[in-house]
Amino acid sequence: MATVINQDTKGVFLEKDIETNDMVVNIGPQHPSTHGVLRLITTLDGELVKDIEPIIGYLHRSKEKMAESRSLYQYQPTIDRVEYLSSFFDHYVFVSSLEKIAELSVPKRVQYIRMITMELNRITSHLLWFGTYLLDLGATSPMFYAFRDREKILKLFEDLTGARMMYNYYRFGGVIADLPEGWLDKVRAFTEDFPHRLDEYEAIVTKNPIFLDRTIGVGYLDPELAIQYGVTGPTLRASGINLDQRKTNPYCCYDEIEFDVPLGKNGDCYDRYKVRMQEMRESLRIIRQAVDKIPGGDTADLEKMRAAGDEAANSPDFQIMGKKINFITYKPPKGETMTTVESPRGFLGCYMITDGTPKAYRVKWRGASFSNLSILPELMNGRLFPDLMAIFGSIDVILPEVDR
Amino acid sequence: MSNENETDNKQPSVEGSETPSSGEVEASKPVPKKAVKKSAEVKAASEGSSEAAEKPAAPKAPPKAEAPKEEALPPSPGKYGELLIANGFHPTPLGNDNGGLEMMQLKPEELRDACLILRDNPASQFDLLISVSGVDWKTHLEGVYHLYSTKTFDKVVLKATAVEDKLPSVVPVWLTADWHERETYDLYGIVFEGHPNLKRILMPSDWIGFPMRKDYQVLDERLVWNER
Repeated sequence: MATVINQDTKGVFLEKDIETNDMVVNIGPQHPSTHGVLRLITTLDGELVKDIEPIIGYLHRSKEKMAESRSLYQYQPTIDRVEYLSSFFDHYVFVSSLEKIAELSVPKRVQYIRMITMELNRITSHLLWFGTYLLDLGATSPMFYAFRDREKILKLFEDLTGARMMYNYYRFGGVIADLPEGWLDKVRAFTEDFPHRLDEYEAIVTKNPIFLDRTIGVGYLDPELAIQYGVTGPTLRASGINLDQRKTNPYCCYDEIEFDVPLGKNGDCYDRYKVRMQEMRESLRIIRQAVDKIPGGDTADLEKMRAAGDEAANSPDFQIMGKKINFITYKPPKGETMTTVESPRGFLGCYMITDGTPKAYRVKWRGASFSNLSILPELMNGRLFPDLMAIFGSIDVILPEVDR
Repeated sequence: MSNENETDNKQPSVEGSETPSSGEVEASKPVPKKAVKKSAEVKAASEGSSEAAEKPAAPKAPPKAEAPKEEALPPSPGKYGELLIANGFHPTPLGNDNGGLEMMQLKPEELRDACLILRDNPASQFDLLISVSGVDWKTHLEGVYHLYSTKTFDKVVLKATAVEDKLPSVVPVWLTADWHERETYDLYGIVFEGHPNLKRILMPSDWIGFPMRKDYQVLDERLVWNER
């Protein structure tokens, strides 16, 4: 760092005139702890961050433009990649937007299947965040534990959809296939086992003095500023704002399920950690109730009902597809709508305009990470440079969702 | 009934010498009697004059003309439209979208003040901007604003047509708009006047053109594999 020492006319050094130059440090685009390809131009004054400018777009894959050259059905497999850690949410907003436009009815069994899969997906996403966040802070072992349990859910998804990450399971008005026999029992067994694993994580992390030093009081997020910047999800709830669309604007069947919305008080990194850990427990509560309430229950039970000639088994609520349509030639009517859901990171939205052709006229993705990342300069203003990764990791940004 | 129309479609500019031959082709096929009658009419008409040959096209017109009649009554302003009208603005109500959200069209010059009213009025309290989207309607560009209230949990959709590709920026109202408007500028070329830092965000800074426009063409042959 260069210093300039000024002298007055008599040749006396003036201490107060000592100036320091700011140093500009470029981080990225390829930095291991940026969770993707993100470039940060930081202006440092010693160890303090004076300014930070995120440069994004390195992962731009023109998902919105792609929608205009493919039919909706051809486009659907590619939207897994918008936010690859919670693809079920991507599919839900996309499929749900079209269901609203085409007024397709969705059977209740499908709603419950979607709810179970989305909540399981929320747990996988939070688990991956938990592992990588601790890795950012210098702890390596929690990642292995987190991935061990994430793997169990991915195995469930593989049984269900055939894929571990890119599921492509939802369809307009339903899902592609019914649950495999015995799948709900596996989910139930997982919900019995997983709370103990969560206790283990909390035992090694939540009271860990090094972890507390790195997170308590670090990265305070003012709730009003957060709303100004459009920050949503656990990051906002850690600042004490009770905003969860599962409660406020219920979709699927969340209004039939009891669960709490975990809130933080201080809005620092530690609260964001606590909120996410608590959210996993709430997700388990939702899954447990949904598995009990799903119309028809396990596929084997449903088949038995059908074989016994039970009329109820043929009612619309028990189907996996509301209305049989030929996806390949399907032309949705003219219309437009935007669906937003509470994804693991906040408001995930899909704005769709159709014009009566098989293609969408316009598809716009509103990623939660996109707005959440824009608050980083405010969070880092005047903070220590070594806190950068602790703060950036705590807002849980997925770069593919930022760049789309 | 389409037989005669089909022949007409295939040869839109029929000359007197050619039409009889097309009529003969019609007659040689095993067609229903009605069709034969009509083709005979065509023959007779085309023999008269070339102008008369275009007459059979007339019956095709009515189905086309019927389409605009289906338009519904102009939608009346909803809850938030009336709030804006009460505050001296001139929104055009667009009814509800398919999700049941109220939509309205605002004049660009009124956009920013109307947004301030919607944000601060206790009846609306739209303090969260979900997204700013651009739409290219080929004749004009449009900005679409989805607002959300963290107090009443309601949503509303605002639309504004860009005049000469320009719209006022709403960054003074919501800081969310900073990045969202940059994205819309980047992909659609809508210039948001009053934006503090309007530059490309997703595309490289030296990119030429605005890729989400409908008339955008990829000039680099290596990049058009997508359209094959």
